[in-house]
Amino acid sequence: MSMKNYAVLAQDHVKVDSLEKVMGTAKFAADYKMPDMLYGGVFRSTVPHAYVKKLNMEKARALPGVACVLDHTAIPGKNRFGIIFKDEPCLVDDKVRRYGDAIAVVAAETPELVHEALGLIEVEYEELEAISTFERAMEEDSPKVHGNTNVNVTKHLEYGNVDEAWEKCDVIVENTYSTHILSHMFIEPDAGIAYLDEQGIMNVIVSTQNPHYDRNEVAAMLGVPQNRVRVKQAVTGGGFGGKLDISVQLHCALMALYTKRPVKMVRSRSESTMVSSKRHPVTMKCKTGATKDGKLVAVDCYMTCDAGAYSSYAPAVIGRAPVHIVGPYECPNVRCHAVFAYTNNPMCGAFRGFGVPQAAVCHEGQMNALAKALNMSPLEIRMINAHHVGSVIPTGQELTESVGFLDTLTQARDKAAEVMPEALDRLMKTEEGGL
Amino acid sequence: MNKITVHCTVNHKPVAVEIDPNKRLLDMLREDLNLTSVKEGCSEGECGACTVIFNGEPVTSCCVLAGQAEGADIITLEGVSVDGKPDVVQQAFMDAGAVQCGFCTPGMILTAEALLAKNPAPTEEEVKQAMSGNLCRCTGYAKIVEAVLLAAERARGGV
Amino acid sequence: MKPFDFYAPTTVDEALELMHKYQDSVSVIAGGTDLVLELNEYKATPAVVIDLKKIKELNYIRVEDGVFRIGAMATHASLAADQAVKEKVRILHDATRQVGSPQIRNLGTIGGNIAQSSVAGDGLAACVTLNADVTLRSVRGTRTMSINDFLAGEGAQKRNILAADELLTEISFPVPDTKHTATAFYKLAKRKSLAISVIGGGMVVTVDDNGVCTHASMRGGALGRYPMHFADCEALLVGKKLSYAAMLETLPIMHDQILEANRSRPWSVFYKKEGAQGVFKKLFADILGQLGIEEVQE
Repeated sequence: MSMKNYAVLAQDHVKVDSLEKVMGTAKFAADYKMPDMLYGGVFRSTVPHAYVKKLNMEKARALPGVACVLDHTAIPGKNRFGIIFKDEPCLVDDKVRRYGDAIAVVAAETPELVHEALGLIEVEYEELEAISTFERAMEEDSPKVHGNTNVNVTKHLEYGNVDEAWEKCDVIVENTYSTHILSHMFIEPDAGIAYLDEQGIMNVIVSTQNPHYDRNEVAAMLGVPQNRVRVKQAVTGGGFGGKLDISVQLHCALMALYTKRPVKMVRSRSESTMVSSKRHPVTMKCKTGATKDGKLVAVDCYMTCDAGAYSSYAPAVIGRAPVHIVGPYECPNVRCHAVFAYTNNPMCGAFRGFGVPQAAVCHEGQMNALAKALNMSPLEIRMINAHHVGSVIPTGQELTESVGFLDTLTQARDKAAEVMPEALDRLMKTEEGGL
Repeated sequence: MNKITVHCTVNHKPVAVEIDPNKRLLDMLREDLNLTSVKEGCSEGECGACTVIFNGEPVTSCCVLAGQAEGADIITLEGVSVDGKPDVVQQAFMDAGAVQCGFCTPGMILTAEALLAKNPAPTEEEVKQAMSGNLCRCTGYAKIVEAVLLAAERARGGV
Repeated sequence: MKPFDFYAPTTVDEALELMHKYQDSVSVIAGGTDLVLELNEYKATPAVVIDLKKIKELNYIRVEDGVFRIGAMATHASLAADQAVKEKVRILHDATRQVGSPQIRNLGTIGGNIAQSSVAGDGLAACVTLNADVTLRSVRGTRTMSINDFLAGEGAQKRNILAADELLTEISFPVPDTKHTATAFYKLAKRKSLAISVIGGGMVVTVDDNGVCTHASMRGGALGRYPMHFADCEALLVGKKLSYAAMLETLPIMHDQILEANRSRPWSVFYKKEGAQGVFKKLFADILGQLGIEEVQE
C-alpha cells in the first residue's frame, strides 16, 4: 500500500495542549480558586433502596461557617436529569434508589467544615427490598425501582430467518457468557466550580466530557433558559465515558445560586468511584451454527443486563451491543433480543465501546467454540467468515469500503510467523482454541 | 490545635509557611503555595499523581504531613522547567507523545527526573521499575517509557 | 483531618517523653503511608501526632558482632538498596524491594511495618520468618523480645504487644551464615507494583555440611491475622537431606493447614491454598539454588 504525502497522516505532531501539561500550568477543575469561594459536599444514602422518612438538617445549618444546607425542596426547576431518560434526581425527593444517592448538599468555608456539617445531618429511612440481580428485578413480585416495571429498555434485532437456518447447520454451539461491572477509574476524580457572574449568568467550570449536555441539565434544574447558563470544560483528567453523566455540575450550581458565592466541589476517589457510572455487566446466552466447512449460518443471542439504578446511556449501549453480536463476521441469519433492567446497583453508563466489548466476549468465544467443534484452527475460522467489501451486516447495511479485517488478520499472521513462530504455532493448533 | 511554621526549600527557593498541622504536604503545596501541578488522584499513595521530589527522592505527597516538610528540599513540576521553557524530560514527554489527559504527567515527569538524576543511562527495565508507582489511565505506558529513555539519551548528548 | 498538635522530636528520649505525656491520644508517624491516609479519612483522630522522621538515631542498618541491627526508621528503600542485606538476608531484601511502589518505599519504614502489624505486611512476614528480635523502649525502660512474642499473648488482642507509650526502636537478628543458611521471600500479588500481598511467603533453611536440614522456618503472610506458621512442614524437613522432592512433601500439610485456618472465609480458601503452594515452590527453588544443592526447572 503506497502512502501519499499527507499533511497530517503519517507525520509527527506534538499534541496541541501538551506544552501546558508538561509545564504543570494546565488548569484542571480542582485547580480553580476564586475569591470568597465555598467548598461543597454531598450527604449520601447509606442504604440502596428506601423512602426517606425524616431528614434533619438543622444542626448542620447551625454550625458556624456553614453557608447552606439544601435538600430537594430548594430546587427551583426540574429535579430529574439523565443523558437520555430523565430518571435521576439532583437530590432525592421520593426515594433512595442506590447506595450513595444524593440526599442533601452542604456548602461551607473549609473542606473540614463540610465534613463536620455532613456528619450532623440526620436521616431516617424506611427500607425497601434492594434489587441486586437482573433475575430478581424481572420477577413479578419484586419491588419496582422506577414506575411500575423494572424493564429499563429492550431491543430486538432480527435478520434473515434464524428458526429455519438451524437445519442447514452441521454444527451448533451453545454457551453463556457474562461480563462484569467495571469502573472507569479515570485518574482525576470529578470536580467543578460554579459561580454567578455580574450578568447573573450561572457559570460552571467542570471536569466533563459533555459540556453542552451539562448546560441543558443545569438550566433545567435552575428553571432558567439555556442562555443563562455557561458551562466550560476544564482540562479533564480522563473520562472514558465516565464523565458524560452529571457529576458535581448541578450541586455546585444549586449552592452557588443560594449562597451567591462560588462553590467548588472535588470528589474523593471513593465518592467518585461510588457514584460515577460503570460498564454494563452483560450476560449473553448464545447459540451459533455453522456448516462443516466453517461458514457461519445462524446466531441467536439472548442478552440481559443489570443496568443499575438509573438509565444513563443504557438506551445507547443496548442499541450497539446486539448489532455487534456477530462481530466482524458474515452471518446471514441473526437474532438478538436484549433486556436491560433497573436494579438498586450502581448506575451503568457509557464506557469505551458502548457495549461492543461485551458483545466481543460472546462472538469471539463462539468462534473459538466452533473452531474446536469443527477441528479447525481459531485463525482459519475467522478468516473464512471475516467481513470484506460487499459483506452485509445484520442491520442490512452493505459494507462498501474500508474493511481492513482480513488484511489485518493476514498481516498479523505473517508477522507472527516471523517474530513469534512458537506462539503462532500454538494458535494454529485446534486444541489450544483461543486467540 | 496550634499552628506550625514549616521552613523548607520549594523549587530552589526558601519558604516559611504558617499552617494547621492537620494538612498534608499535598495541601500545603496546592493551597498555600498555589503549586497546582501537584495532583490529587487517589489520596492513598496508590496512583502517584501527587509525586514530588523530596530530598532527592520521589514520594507521594498525600502520605506526608505538612509538618514533616520542615527542613526539606522539595521540587514540584513548576521547579523543573528552565527559564519558562520545558527541560529535557518535559520536551521528551511532548515529543514522544507521552501526554494525553495530562493528570498523571506531573508525577510521571518528576519520578523520571529523580531517576535520571541518579541513573543517567537507565535500561528500559529500570525505567519501568522506577515509574511503577505512577499510574496512567490513558497511554498504556509505552510512550511514557519511550519518553524517559529519549530524555536520558538527549541529556547524554545523543539525538 | 481532625485537628491535632504536631511534634517532630529529634531524639528518642524526647519522643518517649511526649508519648509518656500523651499516652493513648498519640499517633506516631514512622513512614506515614498508613497513618496519614487514616488521618485524612478521619479513621484516626489523635489529639497529638508525633513524627519520628527527624530522629536520626533510629535510622541505621549495621552489623555488629555478627548481629544485624536495623533502626526502626530504616526505609524499605534503604533496606532494599543495602548491600549487606542483599548478600546475607535475601528474604529481607526481596520483601522490602517489593513493598508498595518506589514512592512508598521511600517513605515507609521497617519499624512502621512491624508496629502496624498489618495482615499483609511484607517486612513483618520476613522478620517473623527470621524470628528476629524487636527492641521496645519507653520512659519505663527497654525490653527486647522475639517478634513472635511481640505478636503473641496479650499482644494478639490488640494487634501487638506495644504499649501506648512504647516505641519500637530496633530489629535485630544474627547474620546468617550463607554457606549453610538460605533465606527467601516471594510475593504473590495482583500486579507488579503498588500491590498489597495476596500471599507473601517467607522461608529460612539451614543445612549441615552433609546437606541435612537442621533448621527450617516457613511462614505465609496474608493467610491469617499474622504470618501463618507452618510448623508441621518445618518438622517434616528437619533431619532430612534437603532436596526439591523432600520439600514438595510439605505441600499437602500446608494445604490442609490453610484449609483449616480459613474455614470461616470459604471464598478465599481455594486460591489461597493453591496460591500458597505455588509461592512455596518458588521459594524451594530459590533456597536450593542459593545453597547450591539443586537447580529446579519449572
